Amino acid sequence: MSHQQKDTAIDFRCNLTRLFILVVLWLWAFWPHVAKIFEKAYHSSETAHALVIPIAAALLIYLRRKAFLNAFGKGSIWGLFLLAAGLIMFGAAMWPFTFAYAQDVAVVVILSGMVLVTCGWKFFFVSMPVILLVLASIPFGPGIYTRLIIRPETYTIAACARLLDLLPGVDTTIQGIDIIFSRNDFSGVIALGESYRGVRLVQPFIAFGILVVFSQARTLLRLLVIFLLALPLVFFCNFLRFLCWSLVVIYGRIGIVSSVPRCISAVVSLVIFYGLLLLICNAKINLFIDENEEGNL
Amino acid sequence: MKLGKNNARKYIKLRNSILSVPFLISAFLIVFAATGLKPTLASLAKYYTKESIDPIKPLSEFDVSDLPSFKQGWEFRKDQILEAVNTDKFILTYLDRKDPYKKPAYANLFVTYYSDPKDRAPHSPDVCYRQGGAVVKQLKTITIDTSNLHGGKPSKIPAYLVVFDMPEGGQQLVIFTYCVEGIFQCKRWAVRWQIGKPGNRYTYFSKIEVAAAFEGDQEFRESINLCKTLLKEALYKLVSEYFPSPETIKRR
Repeated sequence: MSHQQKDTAIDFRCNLTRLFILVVLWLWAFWPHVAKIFEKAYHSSETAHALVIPIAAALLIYLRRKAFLNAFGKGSIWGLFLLAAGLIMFGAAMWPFTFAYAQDVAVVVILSGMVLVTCGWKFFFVSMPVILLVLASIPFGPGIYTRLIIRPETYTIAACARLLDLLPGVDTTIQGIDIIFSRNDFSGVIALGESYRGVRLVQPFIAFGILVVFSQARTLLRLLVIFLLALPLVFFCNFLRFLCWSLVVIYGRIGIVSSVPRCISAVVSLVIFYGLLLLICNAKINLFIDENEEGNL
Repeated sequence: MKLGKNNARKYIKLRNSILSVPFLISAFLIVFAATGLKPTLASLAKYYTKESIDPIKPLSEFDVSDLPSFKQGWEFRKDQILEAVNTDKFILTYLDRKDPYKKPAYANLFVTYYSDPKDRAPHSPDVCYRQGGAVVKQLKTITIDTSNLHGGKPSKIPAYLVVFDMPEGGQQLVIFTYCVEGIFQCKRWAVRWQIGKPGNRYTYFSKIEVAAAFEGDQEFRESINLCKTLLKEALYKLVSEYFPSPETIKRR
């Protein structure tokens, strides 16, 4: 082994050790926040996807292990600034402000600062999907959720009701976030529960999308196309979820308290989402002709 | 040459040492986050956390006869909404137009007042109405001309306009804004930001909401004018007689 190879191996081991120590410290320092996210996920079907995020992150690292190994480099001092910014954000969201979501996001910013300070820019960019995956596991607070969601939710429910009206013998009216329907001698409510749940799978969709898209190297151009299509795709699949939910309730003659429509519609919409993502990720379009040779991200 | 090589090796060894300066600073910052951040913030909070302040006059004494364009309509039963609004400082009343020939004939005024520095501004019509079965038809921010608040000087405040299809039929227009420590905001996060921002000694915020039912486009335009007029007139009275002045809440 030459001196240069030896030095590179020592560099690599040192960076890895530094990162490991910082991650342990991070877990020690922010354990209450991490535990809070998992506890919330354990008790709420809306954020249950957070429970599998560590497995998804580990899977992503395993699938991209070569890229991770090749990306190890000298740490960047900019990581310190990122870490300090995260710390300021964390503190400010604790006092004088009380933004719980910002506080949780700050914990992830600190984590990304640690990655940058120990392993450098290249590694930072390669690990970005994992960081995004962790971000997607933090549930939005009700305030952010309602602000983001009222319009898409209203449109989704309206579109679903219109489509259901086209079905033979089905009549619908919208009340709040519920669809009231009648079909022949059967009538009932397609109820999503409390407010802002009309697009409840947005975060799981995003997390699942990150896992699928970044499980392989993709060109920047393809990533850009996926990024542009991602949000319409998420809302379209959410619409399919709602539609599937409605069809199961109407044709299955299922009562309001049953969890069957919720489970079936969630699985169906996630499978369709996966299929559509695969299509976008693997479609051979002229734009992506050189992709096999220059997969870079 | 040999010395140079040795120096290079030494440099690489030093660089490769686990205890590099950026690493040590990072570790220190994280340890500080775990052990020193909370006490530091607590000591700052001791001096800078804001205190509660009551309105100058109880809102229950709000006299609608001072409003130039409105007279008292019928009133809500207060005990029914006390629990929902989470404060006993509120106004909820219907107001009839003084000009009986114009439509919509009435509007309602709903003002709530809070002064907990940890408040998260939880109630807003765009969320609460939907829970009651209303469907959002329109949602946008607008500005309200409030030159009457500033002695005729041109000034505008932000407000939210929401149009609902009501579950009992018909449509309703709601315009609302928040007054936080004398500053007008229409977004909840901005309200929370203003409440948290150190500076003043006291804090309060109030949601001022006006609503009118309407039918058709013509009445919609009329109802916007009606709501804007009511908001302007009510704000003038609230700011000048009920809400603590900016001087009162300042830290001296």
